[in-house]
Amino acid sequence: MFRLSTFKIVVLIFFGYFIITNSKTASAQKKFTLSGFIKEEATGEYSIGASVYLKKSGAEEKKLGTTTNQYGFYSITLEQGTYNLTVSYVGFEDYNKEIKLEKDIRLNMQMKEKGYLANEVEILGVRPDENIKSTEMGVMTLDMEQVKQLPAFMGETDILKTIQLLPGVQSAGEGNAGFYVRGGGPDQNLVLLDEAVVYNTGHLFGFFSVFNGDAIKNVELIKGNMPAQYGGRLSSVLDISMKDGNSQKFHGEGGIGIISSRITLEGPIKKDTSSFIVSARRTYADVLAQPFIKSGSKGSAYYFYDLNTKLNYRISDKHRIFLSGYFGRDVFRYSNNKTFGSAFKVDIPWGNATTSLRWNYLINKKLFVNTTAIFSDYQFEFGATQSEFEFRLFSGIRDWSGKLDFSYYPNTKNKIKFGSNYIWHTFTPSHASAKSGDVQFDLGGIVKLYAHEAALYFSDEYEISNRLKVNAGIRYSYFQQVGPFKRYVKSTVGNLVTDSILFNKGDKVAEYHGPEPRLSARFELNKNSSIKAGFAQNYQYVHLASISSVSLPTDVWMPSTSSIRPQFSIQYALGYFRNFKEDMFETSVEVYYKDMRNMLDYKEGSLPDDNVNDNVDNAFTYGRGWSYGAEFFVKKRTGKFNGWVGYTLSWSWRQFDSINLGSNFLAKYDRRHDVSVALTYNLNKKWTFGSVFVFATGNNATLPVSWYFIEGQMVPEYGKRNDYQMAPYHRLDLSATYTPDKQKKLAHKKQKWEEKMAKKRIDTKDLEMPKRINSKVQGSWNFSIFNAYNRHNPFFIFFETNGDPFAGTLNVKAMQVSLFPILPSVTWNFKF
Amino acid sequence: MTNYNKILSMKYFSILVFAVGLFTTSCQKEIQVDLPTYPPKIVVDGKIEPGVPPYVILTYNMPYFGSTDVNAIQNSFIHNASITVSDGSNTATLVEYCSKSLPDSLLPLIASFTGIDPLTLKNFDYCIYTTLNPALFGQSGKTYTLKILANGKNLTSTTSILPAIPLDTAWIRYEKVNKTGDSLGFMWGHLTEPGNTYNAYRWLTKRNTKDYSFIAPPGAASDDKYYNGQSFDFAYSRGSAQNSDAKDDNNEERGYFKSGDTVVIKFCTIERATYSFYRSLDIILNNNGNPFASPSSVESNIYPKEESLGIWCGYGVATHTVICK
Repeated sequence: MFRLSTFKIVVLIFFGYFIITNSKTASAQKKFTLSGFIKEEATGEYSIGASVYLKKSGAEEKKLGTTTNQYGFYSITLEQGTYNLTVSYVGFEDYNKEIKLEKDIRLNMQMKEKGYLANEVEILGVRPDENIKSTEMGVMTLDMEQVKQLPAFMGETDILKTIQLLPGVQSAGEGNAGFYVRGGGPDQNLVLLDEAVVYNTGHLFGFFSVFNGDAIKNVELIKGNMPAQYGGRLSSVLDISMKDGNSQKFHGEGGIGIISSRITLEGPIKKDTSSFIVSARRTYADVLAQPFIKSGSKGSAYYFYDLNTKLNYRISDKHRIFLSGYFGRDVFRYSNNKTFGSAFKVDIPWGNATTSLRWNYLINKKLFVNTTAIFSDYQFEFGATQSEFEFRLFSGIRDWSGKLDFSYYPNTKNKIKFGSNYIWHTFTPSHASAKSGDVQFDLGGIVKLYAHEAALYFSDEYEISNRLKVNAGIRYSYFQQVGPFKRYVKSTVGNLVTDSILFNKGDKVAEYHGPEPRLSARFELNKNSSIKAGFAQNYQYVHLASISSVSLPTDVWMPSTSSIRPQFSIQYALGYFRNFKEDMFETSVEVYYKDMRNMLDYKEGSLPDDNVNDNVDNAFTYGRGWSYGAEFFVKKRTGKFNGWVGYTLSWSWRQFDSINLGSNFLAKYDRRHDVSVALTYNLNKKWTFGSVFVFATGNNATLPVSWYFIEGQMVPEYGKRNDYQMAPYHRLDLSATYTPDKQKKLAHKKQKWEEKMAKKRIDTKDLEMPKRINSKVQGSWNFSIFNAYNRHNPFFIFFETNGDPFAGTLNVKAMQVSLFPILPSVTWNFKF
Repeated sequence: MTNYNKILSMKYFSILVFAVGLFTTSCQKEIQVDLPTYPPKIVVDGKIEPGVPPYVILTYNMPYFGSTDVNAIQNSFIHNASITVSDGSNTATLVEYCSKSLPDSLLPLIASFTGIDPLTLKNFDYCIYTTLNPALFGQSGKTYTLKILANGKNLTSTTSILPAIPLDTAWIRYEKVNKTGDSLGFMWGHLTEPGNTYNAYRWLTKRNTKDYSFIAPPGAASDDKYYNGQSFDFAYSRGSAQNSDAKDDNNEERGYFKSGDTVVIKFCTIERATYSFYRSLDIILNNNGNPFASPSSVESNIYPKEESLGIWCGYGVATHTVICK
């Protein structure tokens, strides 16, 4: 790919730049640094992405500012002087203070939540003019509290479903866990939960996401040019931060819905120093469905559960430690006494587990470092028995990794990030075993694949002039597959295994590395509008091989090997951003072109058992993808009535030498048109309404075009790949949230109690009020209607053949299956 | 050797359908599909086995959707083709015979070749090419070349008849009893698989008096990837003709052999190319319309592939008769 000398150059630039920027600041005139942490007053949660602005008192000068990082830390270095400080954070009141900067100042601030009067329900939250000012393109932040105002499918608030409402992000419809960003594949999204990679994002074959909204603080999606600190995927980053746990007081929340219940508890272990959060969720559809399962299938069940926990401990103002964990499992059991005569049983558990331990260290007022140790695991198991036959299959991926991330704030003009990471991957593409009675079939034993992945990065957000700001970064990544490994060598004719090469433990099997330059720039046209451009190169060393056309838990993660080359992409993006009416309306138009190399797919007609006594990658074929499109976005930020409308016009192409006879074809989820509308209306203190509308061009399918006779049987012959477009997908969801006025209700109860006591001539002064009057539980009801006009959206198409061809009665019909009709749901949510 | 293939192929589909069914009642409706265009191809369905004349059925493929009348199917047969089969030293030209011009007494024989029932053969003019030259009747160990010239297109293929590998034993094992008191079960076999060489097999059965031809159950073709050199028991269910309207293919007896049946097992040794064909055929027949399977094509051994579909198959045959008591 690239010679190692490139690497040396990168290292030189890396350190050279560092010295230059450092010496620059050293030679500048007298400057001081204002730094500290910003958190929410009520909960003690650190505020991510809060903006800090300083303006010289009395002067007409422009504001100077920065934003807090993922741990709520900010640092800004300015000339000596008196400044007006303003801190703003979505959903919170602005914090204002006059600062005399005559020495370095450490200032920790607490943000007060906005009262109801603000009338603001904002789902995508950033500071008012962030849209115009930042160099970032295609970055969206979701505020969890507000996501809950939107309609929820079966009462389950789902962040993945919400991000799919953004332009450029597509869902594949119901029953598919994957999301597709700008024409890329579902494996090209880096999904992080407190810095740990989550490999499988779906519960119940993708109907629900694994992220429990109650445990989530912040969600950031980067769909375009990812900054240099992220890498390893081609299309997007979904960075999810869990709540730290309330460090002020004990608090709980939860919900009871039609298919699942949730409970979250959080509180201080030691006030202001350490806190915890535990959040759990389980579906009980299996319990509800039990009476309806036919007697032959008794013992069948399906449920999932997940658990999020987090502890944090503030050792001192300079040191903090976070320990986060996630564990989730889907359990599916199927038992049938009828289908095959003898009892047929299937047992399929699968799920993720992640743990991350982070240590924040504030080295000095300008330099912040976060050290992370991460464990991430995804497992899928399949077991089936019938009579004497037993079959077991196991697949998974497990990572151990370490990260070092520095944020350096040398002056107001530069914000530097650099760091490194390392991952030790263990892949188990599949381990199958089968036996009949006592005879064990040879299914090749456990095949595990091992790999090192590492990267170094450096980036600088540099404000060159008032108008021009650039974020330039470079990432250099490295990947090595190591033994033990057995490579089966195949003959070119007949595809026979003729030989095998054995690699011992630690031996290098394959190696790849390369630079990934990233550049984005913002040019401010005026106060209300700007133009941005971006360029990014990415390598992806792990691949999801999907044998079916939808994303299922059976999909297998694979490393790059001597035959699988890393995926590589180049993306160009250009955007125009404009705000109206004092930032009440945000609008943007972005265009992009993305070129993707070494995408992988199974060869035609592959079966899951092809890897037995063979390498999984021998069943793959490789090709190219390219996509381009335009995204239009209008958002109303403020007022009782707000929300957004997104429209995407796009094309996504593929070309594989061994698929479709080598000619170009449209990707399955190619979307010519994609419209999303998400609106909320805050009627009054008690009622909030939400609605979502989506329209998307139908998915592409490969259909049979002809049939022919073999042994008197009709055999279908398939046509060109993805040559048929299914009917469009569209749907309207509605919701209403009712929050009873607790104070009024309690006051009413209190009054009644007092009247009662008065009648009995009891003096209430010395009496303790009954608990029900003092209840701290604040409840709310969410009523949702999914698919309000009962649209039958296509899920898949199958064919029904009737009649006898030789009697002239043959008829072949295409049948379309739809999943969800109109589905109302109600959830009771509570907080205490 | 069939069961875990079956389990694997059904795992995606039935499980998901079940899981979906737990939460909602999915609904289905007929939709109109614009007929896509397709290139016409010549379809070859040819076989040769020891002691039996080689035969070839030559047809065109037909549009997939919509109603197809009997004339269209009748017209899909290709007549007046020039077909030769050669074993390297002898060559014979195959002659076309059509069922309507044959005496009724010969129809069961044609039915056993084609899998088409004798009654249909009487009403529908079904044509096959064959030769009565005994020099070209199949012989174990020989390689046969097929050459076809039909409507200006030249097609070729080659196949071999491999030595038969018989089962050690075969028997029925009953699984349950039906309403009328008959026992129902699967057919079992014990195979001592020769190691060292690559082997592939195809299993077919025929019930005397009930079936007019040998029928392959799902997963009937397998190769020794999993069991090379092993000695083991295995089982197959009973196959049925596609869209069969026979009573026992549409009630609880479907897939089972029944007490009282006399079953002939035809255990065939096949080449790798033939195995690839029948395996891919099996996948496509089982997966047709399954949205969780990647679209696939049947791996033909007829050349050139752009103009043809189908198989020229040599069987090494071992037969076993099982009387189900």
